[in-house]
Amino acid sequence: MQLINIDKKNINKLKNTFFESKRRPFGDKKIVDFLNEISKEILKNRLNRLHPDIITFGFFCRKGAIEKSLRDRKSFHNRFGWGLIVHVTPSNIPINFAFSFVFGLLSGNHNIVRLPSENWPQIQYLVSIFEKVSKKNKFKDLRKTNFFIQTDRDDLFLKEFISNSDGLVVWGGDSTIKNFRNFEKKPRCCELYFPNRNSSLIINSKIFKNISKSELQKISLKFFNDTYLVDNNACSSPRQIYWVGSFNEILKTKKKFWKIINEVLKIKKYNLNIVAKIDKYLDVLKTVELKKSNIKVEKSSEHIWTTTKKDDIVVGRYGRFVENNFNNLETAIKNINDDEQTLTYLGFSPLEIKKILFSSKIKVDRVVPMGRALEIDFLWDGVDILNRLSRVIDIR
Amino acid sequence: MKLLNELSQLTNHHKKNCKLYKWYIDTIFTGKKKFKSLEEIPWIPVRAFKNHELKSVENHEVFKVMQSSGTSGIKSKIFLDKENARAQQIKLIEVFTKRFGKSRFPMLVIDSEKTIKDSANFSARTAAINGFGIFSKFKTFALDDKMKIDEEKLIDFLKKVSGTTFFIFGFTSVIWKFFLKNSKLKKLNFDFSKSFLIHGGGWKKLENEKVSKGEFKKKIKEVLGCKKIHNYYGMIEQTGSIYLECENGNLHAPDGSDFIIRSLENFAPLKANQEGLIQLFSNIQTSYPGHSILSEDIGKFLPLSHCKCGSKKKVLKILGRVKKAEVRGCSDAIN
Repeated sequence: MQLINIDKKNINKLKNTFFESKRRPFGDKKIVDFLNEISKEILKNRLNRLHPDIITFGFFCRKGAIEKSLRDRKSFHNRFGWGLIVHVTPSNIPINFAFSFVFGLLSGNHNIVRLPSENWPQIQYLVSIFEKVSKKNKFKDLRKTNFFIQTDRDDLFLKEFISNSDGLVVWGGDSTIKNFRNFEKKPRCCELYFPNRNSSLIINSKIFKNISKSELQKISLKFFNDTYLVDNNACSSPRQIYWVGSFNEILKTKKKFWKIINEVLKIKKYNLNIVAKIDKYLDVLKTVELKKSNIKVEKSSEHIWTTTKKDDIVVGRYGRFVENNFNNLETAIKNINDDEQTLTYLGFSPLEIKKILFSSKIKVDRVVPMGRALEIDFLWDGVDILNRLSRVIDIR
Repeated sequence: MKLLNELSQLTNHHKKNCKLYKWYIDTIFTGKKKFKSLEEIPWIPVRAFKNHELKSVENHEVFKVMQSSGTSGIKSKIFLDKENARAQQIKLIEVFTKRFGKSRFPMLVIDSEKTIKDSANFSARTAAINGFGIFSKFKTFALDDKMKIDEEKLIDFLKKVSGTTFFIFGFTSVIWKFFLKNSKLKKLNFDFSKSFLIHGGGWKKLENEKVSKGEFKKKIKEVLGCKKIHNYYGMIEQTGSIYLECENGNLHAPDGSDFIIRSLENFAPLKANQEGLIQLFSNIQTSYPGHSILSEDIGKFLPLSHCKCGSKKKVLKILGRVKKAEVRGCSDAIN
């Protein structure tokens, strides 16, 4: 799969390739094989251990894993891709483009993936792996019908591709989404947008009573992976923390919790890019401007800033968390913002959360245990991506 | 200690007159009123002026709004009342006359006249050209509206001033890109022996082209034969209070200004020779809270110098600018 720069010369050639190519069935065996070889390439390279996100992607692409999730699906038969899908992928999560591409492939489509302008090492590496594996003779036709491109956001060729495509997947901030929604498309173009979202964590403070040191450490690592791993700046990474318990209980728990988090940050040598560090101050400036007063920012360390929801209306990131206390689970859940994406929980059962969620008007899309906030899957933002990117032929 | 007192007073003045500043300072620096050292004076990130209107005067008192050149798209907005605008000018005169005396000189501007004519687009370049313009006996712009060298005007000017004291002024990147790199520019055979050149503005664009300071100066000496070259460091957020290179090529704070270096790790104040963010102090900002700004420039200081220029002030070394990179997350997706 080549990374190509689009210009006048090759755009027609590219277009022809797509129009000539045959459509592909959903969950095609060849695609599963292709992904399996990608997975092998990734996992055999020891250097990749430096990038946990690449490893995660490597595991995601394993034959066994993919076949299992495909088997679990009911509507598999008579399903085909829409045709050509254009993917517009975000600059801030390096690995996201690869997942979007895999979703497009598995649902039976040809794909043009617009890479972010940010030149992440992960992107360079993965593109080279896709290129390497697709050069094998058996994947020749895949190579012809799938491309990575780099263009400006308002590039005319990109617009032309989109106007000729059967589907469009856009991951991005709200203004990006708005921009792409307005582009000209085929009447039946299947459009999938993943706009900016926020997420929360709900913690039962009771479980911290008499908790063992090792249990506490496990929890702190899970929290780290959900938040600091991406500077709590990803849609599904919790930025708000809802504590459930009595006032005194929560007070004690919080102390314990942030203390161990601070230790983990030290062990992991967590550091933020300096611009992000300054942004954290600017976020506070934005907050006080909206709030029209000073607010209380609790600084447990330079990397742990907490505020309360009463004060803070700007979404937390870069180690700033907005906290809120509740007596019971029900009031906590009912206080979640209306359009939250992921609700991560600790010390509750998914069933009790489900019961309350279903009887409320809260539109949470995902409920996952702590430690799994960032696991991307075929289900995302309340959408079954593979189904949306494919169509069923009704034969009776 | 005089400066510390002035800065303390300014901090309290702005807290009284700019609500947003007060809310921010009270939140981050928890309401302290007395400061024992420069390190304790609250600071505001330089980008605060980009997305927020920070002013300590009433709207009807605003005399001029200055905007930064804003390579990133969003421009800084600096609100000046008459008094503050005047203070900037006085400060600049002080810095200039200290080095070059009280005379006015013919001025060759390496820029287009369009840059200052377009009042709707008031930029750092406009401010700098106008600012230094007050030291000119007369001005000639070396570039035309299309940023091409206006040979006729240039030669005409040089014929007039050859052998006398005159000065050349421009933005570093403009001088490089549109003047020195112009392939048609040949060695100008005029007498530049008494001339001096002042240039400022970021090196960022030049660094992308891998041009060093030494190379820049060499090329100027080659083409113009001008030997006295003074770079200055300053920001539109503290216009007037510029750091002008002395004859030994050192940057010292002007009177009424100072700077410290803060850690890239945790913003703690650093010692001599340690690299960090430059925080700039100036005592003339009354209409907007710009008297203590944390820049995004990286630098260090050499201890109190015994500079041959006579200054006993520490020397500021500019090492570059912070890089916006590797922010993880997905909130602001594509660019």
